[in-house]
Amino acid sequence: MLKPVKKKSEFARVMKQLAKNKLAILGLIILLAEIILCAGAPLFTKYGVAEMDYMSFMDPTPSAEHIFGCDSMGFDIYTRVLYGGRYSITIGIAAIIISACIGIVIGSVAGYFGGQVDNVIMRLLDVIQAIPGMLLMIVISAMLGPGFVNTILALSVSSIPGMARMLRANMMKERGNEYIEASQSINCSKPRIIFIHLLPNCISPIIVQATMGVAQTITLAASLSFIGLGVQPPTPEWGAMLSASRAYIRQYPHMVIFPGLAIAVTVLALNLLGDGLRDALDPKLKN
Amino acid sequence: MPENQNMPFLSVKDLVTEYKSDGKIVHAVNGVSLTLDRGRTLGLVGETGAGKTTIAKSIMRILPDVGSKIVGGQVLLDGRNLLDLPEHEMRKIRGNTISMIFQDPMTALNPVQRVGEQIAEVVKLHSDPGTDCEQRAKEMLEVVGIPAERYYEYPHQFSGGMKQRVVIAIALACNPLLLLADEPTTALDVTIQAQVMDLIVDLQKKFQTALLLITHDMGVVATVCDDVAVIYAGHIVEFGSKEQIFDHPTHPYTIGLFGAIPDMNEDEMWLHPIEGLPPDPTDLPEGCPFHPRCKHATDACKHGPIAPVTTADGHMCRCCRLDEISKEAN
Repeated sequence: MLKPVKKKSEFARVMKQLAKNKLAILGLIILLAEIILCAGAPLFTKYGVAEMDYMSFMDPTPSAEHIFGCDSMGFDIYTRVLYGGRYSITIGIAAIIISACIGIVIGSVAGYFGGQVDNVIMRLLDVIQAIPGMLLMIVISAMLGPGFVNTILALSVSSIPGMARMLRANMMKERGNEYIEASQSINCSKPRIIFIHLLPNCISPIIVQATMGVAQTITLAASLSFIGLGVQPPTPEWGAMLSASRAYIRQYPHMVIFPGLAIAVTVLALNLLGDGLRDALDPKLKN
Repeated sequence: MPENQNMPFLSVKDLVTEYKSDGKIVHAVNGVSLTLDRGRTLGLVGETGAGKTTIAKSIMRILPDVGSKIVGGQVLLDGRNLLDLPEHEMRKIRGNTISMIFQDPMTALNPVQRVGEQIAEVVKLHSDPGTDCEQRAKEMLEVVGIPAERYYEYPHQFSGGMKQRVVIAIALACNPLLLLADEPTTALDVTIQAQVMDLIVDLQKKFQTALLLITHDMGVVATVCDDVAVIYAGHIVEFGSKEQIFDHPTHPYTIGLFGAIPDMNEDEMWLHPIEGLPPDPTDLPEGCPFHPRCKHATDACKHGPIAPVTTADGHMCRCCRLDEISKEAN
């Protein structure tokens, strides 16, 4: 008679592993705090997002009334950072999720099948990569028109080739291993081999790339807003806030510092979390 | 196809497999024929690169899609030619009727999947929905001598010998009728080798499995096999029962192989290797592939295919100077 064995769930294992990494937990806490603050923005501020304080024109620097100060339009920066986070974080994460999903599929197919399939896919990606990223985003945004969803699409297209390439390289390395032959010999279908057996072995660099990518995407979204193709004013967005305030950087640096700080803290938190997650997901690094 | 009682369980006929590499054709398997019955063990012996593994992979049809091709021949399993089966029919057989034990247990398991799940996977792929795959996988772990509690562990937490047991458990989980063991003990140390071989043989006895054992270890062949096929450069140069091959090797290559085993009772200064190297498989010599290294070679060996000579009791040897060599031996 077999003894019953308790199953430990994969999720519990990853969380336990993650909990050992203090920095990753710090990153997770910062990120969760930001998400709560941004999602529940009206609860944490008494000003409206497009509410001007005419008195602030005299002195926009931080004060008890406006803890982060006000910007050139008289908007409360603290309020706009909170509301802006909704857009910035969503754009960053959504664009990366889209590009990672597409990149994973393309990269897996190219890396697993190799040969002609790989050649065709890679040459197509070369074409995309031959166009400077910024230019490509401008073209796509100009084509689709500015706006929140279109910005996400424009940003995700330009990071697909990087993701696909990285996964393809890993796939090619892993594909030669005997366990892939073994999985063929027990009759796994090709999609099963690719997505159940190969992908979990190749995914860790993608996770790191993706978390760093979120940070990069937030700043790229800012550049798009800067040339008027990203999220449109008066919708607050961190990058847009940065670029709108750059003219006052000498007189009123707080206008740039606070949105910049928001971006920096998010990026830091994501990087810490991404690093920890990569380690936690790898069962070989257990204990 | 009518069931033929006299037909062997597995019969490979004139199998030819080629690889393409840099525009050259690698002749890995050149007209191999062999038969194997249920409950019997056939040893495939030969040097590295002789085509042993390629034969096994050709039988299972798991050669890489790109750059390899089964050019000709038949693989008859219970009278059905596996090489003619459509892929979806083949998939029912692969892992179920035929399964394979791989050479290197260190890389034959997926490093990020729990070992139990890897055993359960093969069960799941071949059984009706609703089967308790996990239960079956735990049973298999116990069968190969690993406590079922270790179902949830990862391959890196297992030693080499235990990993090979898991590989065996995967191969045997569906009670295969034909087991292809590709150097199952090569990567293990000697004591573990013995345990693993015992395990394979026990399970073979229990399930009446036909076993094709690929190895270059003559000791393993001597203990386990019923029949032996000696492979050289993709040809079977000698085929016979274990007794025939071990007591009366006839092909110069086989004689050379046995000559290379050092004798424990004699104080020998030097080992006796077979001079030369195996031929380049992209450019096999004409005639007998062994002739450049054979001290008995004559002009007759250098031309045309060498016909196999079979004695009454089924001992086959592919050599055209058989008579002279056996005279010399006596």
